[in-house]
Amino acid sequence: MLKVEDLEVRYGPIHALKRVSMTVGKSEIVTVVGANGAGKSSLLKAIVGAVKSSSGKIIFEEKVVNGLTAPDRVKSGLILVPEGRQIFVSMTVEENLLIGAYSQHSSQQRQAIESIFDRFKNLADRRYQLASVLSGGEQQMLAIGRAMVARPKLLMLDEPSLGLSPILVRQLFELIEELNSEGISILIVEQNTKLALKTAQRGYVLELGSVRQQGLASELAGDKGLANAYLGDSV
Amino acid sequence: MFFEQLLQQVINGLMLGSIYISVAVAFTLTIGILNFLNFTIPALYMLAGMVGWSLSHYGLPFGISGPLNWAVALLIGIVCAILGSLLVERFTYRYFKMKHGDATEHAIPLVSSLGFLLIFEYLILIAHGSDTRGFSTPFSNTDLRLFGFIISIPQFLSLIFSILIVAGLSVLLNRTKLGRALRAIAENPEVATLMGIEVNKIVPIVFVMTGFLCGVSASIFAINYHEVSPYMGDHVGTKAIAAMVIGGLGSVWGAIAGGLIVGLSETLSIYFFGASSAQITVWGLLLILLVFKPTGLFGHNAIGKGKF
Repeated sequence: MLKVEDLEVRYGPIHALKRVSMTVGKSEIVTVVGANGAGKSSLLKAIVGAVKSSSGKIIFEEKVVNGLTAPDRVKSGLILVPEGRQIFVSMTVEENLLIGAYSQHSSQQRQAIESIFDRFKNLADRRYQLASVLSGGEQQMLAIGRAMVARPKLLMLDEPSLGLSPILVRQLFELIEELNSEGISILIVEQNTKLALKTAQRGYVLELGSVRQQGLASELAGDKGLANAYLGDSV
Repeated sequence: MFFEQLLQQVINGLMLGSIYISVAVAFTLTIGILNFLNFTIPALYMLAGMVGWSLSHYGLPFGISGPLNWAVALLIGIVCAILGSLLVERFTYRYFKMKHGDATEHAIPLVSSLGFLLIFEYLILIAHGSDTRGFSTPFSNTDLRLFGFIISIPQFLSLIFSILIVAGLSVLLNRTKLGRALRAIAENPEVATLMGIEVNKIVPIVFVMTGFLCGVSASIFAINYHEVSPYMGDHVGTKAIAAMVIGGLGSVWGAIAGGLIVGLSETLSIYFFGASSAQITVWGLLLILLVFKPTGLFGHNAIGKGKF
């Protein structure tokens, strides 16, 4: 479904990604873990076209998408839920979803939005309220809902558990599994490595912009050296 | 007698304010959506007026036609203001954004828009000199006498028209897909891109609106006051910025209030203290207001992004 080959990203003198190769298969959950500054967010941003890659290929559904703008990649089904949720706080809950469905036909917009309100009752209750009044968990629901109305084929989540309580984090990962069982491929970047590796089928470990290790999530989770370096004591 | 004169001045002030409304809205739109104080706005206003005058006086360049009908001339003037505005977008806002990203977000586009202001102004000075030119329309004497007060019909219609434009803009921003996209860009252009919004295609629309508002406002001025000059933009520019700040940055309804307050304080100040006092009164009022309400009358708390 998604194939990244020798991807390089530079911000001026900073070499953020060095020849990173990875894949996400159809209906797979893949996670990318690593320390702060390892290049995880840069990888997602390069895949959606929010940052330019200096070399390498990004292939989505058999097509090279390097030349496409970010909005065109959104249309083809590559959707990112950005780090820190980044919902539009000056807009209502419903308007946030309408923005998410921006590239959809208006006939499908309504239906897509109603299905989000069916899934998240809390959001339905606050439909006409400003998104700024939502709690952290509701904001994350809205951010995912906003991505869902764009009909993702590959849904990418950048640090989705950030700032959520343990109960909400567990619910979030249940939701991710649920979405996956509906046929959406998922790529998660996480600091909460343990939970990410438990949910994912495969994982990649990024270190200083390079892939240091890759394999089945269960194997990575059991790797002693890795556990000491990254997995720490996170819940 | 005194009160009747005073009331007449209030009426005149409100009419003058209607000129400022559209220009203030143009300022507030670019600052609200793009966080960009576009200094070319007064020049676009002047451009519409002077091109309109030139076409109604001389006709199209190179002898293509004789003097044009005043309305057609002003319409072409408005189109020129829109084209000029797109030029500014291409070479100030977009160019620097593409080349240098957000690091230069404020200063460089601002300074280059100031450059465009001066270039437009001096091009017109070279072409037509610095004289104030008479602009004649069929509405030279259409004052309506109502209870002893003089209300100029074109002025009254232009006040209504300005308010309708702002109302339309408000509906556009709050009820349409384009409006939502503009507000998303206002709050966070990077995330707007992730939602599939083509920021580079939508931003020029803001500049089209800016040119249109300036052109309409200049036309209203030309019709009401029967004159245009290469300096007309400077006079309206400072007042419109004051109107925007008084109304609250990024608030289109605030721009109406701000425009009317500035027009009112200007005429009353001239009536009581003489012509030179107008700027002191307007800006003094603004500074006092900012002490008590830094966001302006209708501005939101957040200064910077996401004001719609």
